[in-house]
Amino acid sequence: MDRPASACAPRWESPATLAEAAEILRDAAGSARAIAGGTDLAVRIRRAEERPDVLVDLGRIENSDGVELRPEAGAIGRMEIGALATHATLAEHPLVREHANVLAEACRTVGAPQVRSRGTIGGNLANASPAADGVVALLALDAAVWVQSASSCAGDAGAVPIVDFLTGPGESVLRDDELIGGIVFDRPSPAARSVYVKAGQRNALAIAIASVAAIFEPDAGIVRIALGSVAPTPVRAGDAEALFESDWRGGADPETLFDAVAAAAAAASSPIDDVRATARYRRILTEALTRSALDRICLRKA
Amino acid sequence: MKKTIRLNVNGEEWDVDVEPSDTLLEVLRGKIGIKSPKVGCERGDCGSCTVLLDGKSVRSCLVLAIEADGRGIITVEGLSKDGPNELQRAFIEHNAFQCGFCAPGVVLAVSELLAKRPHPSRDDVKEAISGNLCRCTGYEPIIDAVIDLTAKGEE
Repeated sequence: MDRPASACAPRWESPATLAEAAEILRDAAGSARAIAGGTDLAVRIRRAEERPDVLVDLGRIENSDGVELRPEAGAIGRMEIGALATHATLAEHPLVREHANVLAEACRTVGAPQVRSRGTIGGNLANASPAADGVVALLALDAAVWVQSASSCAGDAGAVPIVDFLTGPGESVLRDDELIGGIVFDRPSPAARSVYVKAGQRNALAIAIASVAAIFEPDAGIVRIALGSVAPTPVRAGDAEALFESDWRGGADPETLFDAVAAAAAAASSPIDDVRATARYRRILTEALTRSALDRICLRKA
Repeated sequence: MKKTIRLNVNGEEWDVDVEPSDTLLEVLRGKIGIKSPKVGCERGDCGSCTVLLDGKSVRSCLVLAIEADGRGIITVEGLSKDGPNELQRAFIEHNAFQCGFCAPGVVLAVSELLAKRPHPSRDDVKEAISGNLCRCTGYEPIIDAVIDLTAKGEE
């Protein structure tokens, strides 16, 4: 291929552990970037949008791509997911499908098979796109992020709730010398049902115009609703959740209640006009997607 | 800072010097002379640069060559060393490509599917090629070719 010589000629480091990777990041003092699946970063490097002096390859690190359910961590059990788990892994993993279906469904809508086989959930989070499908699902699951730095192990200082982790489009609290080690969340109740619904220009290879991750826990009578692509970060629709909780148990007519909850979810969005859609269209979509999600998870017979 | 990496491409070992920012697509085409992975969008949208990396289909424009160090790559050149294989012949019979730009990627994506699932449904095929854009065929002849080939094997 005839093209100018590479826009940057970084040094390549392949550490064997997350701790070593964090040390390299610390020593590079802001001039290094960690690369996992590369599905975002490789493009930015080719376009010279990023010119790191050092690339820290996370692809040779072992034992950081697993999925575990730890029953000992409380009656409900806790799911732990390594940051290097790919979207393809999470879409198919039996534990994820059984206990956190919303995450499996969200991961299945990312890009295409060739992107899902490379892109990782940690990268999805670190990239901090408002449209990140996996992150919308993790927000609904009340997940938290283990941050690893050179001076502390992942999990040492406790995990950062996703809602605090994300600070804006492409922005998070992650510092230049920190890595995402893993993600943790309490397993929803065994009776829970969850769904991820997404609207894009086509079914595959589409970035969401709007998306909704929803979890219904029939025993507690609550829903958790997270919205994607309609605010600077994925957001929870707190008012919509509160409305559901107060009226569902009171025997409200489901159709009326779902309409009101969907309207409240749309009110929780703060979308913008961009190349994919107008803000107005996104609000309408958010309401329709929420309504559809509630129909699918709240009315299905157990 | 150049580094020498070893790639197994279609069964042959290659030692090549690469910059860490060189993509696998650039190295395959520019340094090894394998031209079937096409330069389409160069941002992971079109699938025309698809290759198999250790048996899994990936977009070679999104993989840095250095990440593939020590691993095995298959392109359509590797599938057709003795002439077109049966999948490629089925594509020809069904006129499953026209301009041909997407064809190498589509053939590899389907090859990955057939390795896992020798008798796929139409939906399996659609899912497998969902990351490969074709602007000529409308996809139906591609799906017909795969189903026709794999249904034959069932009898």
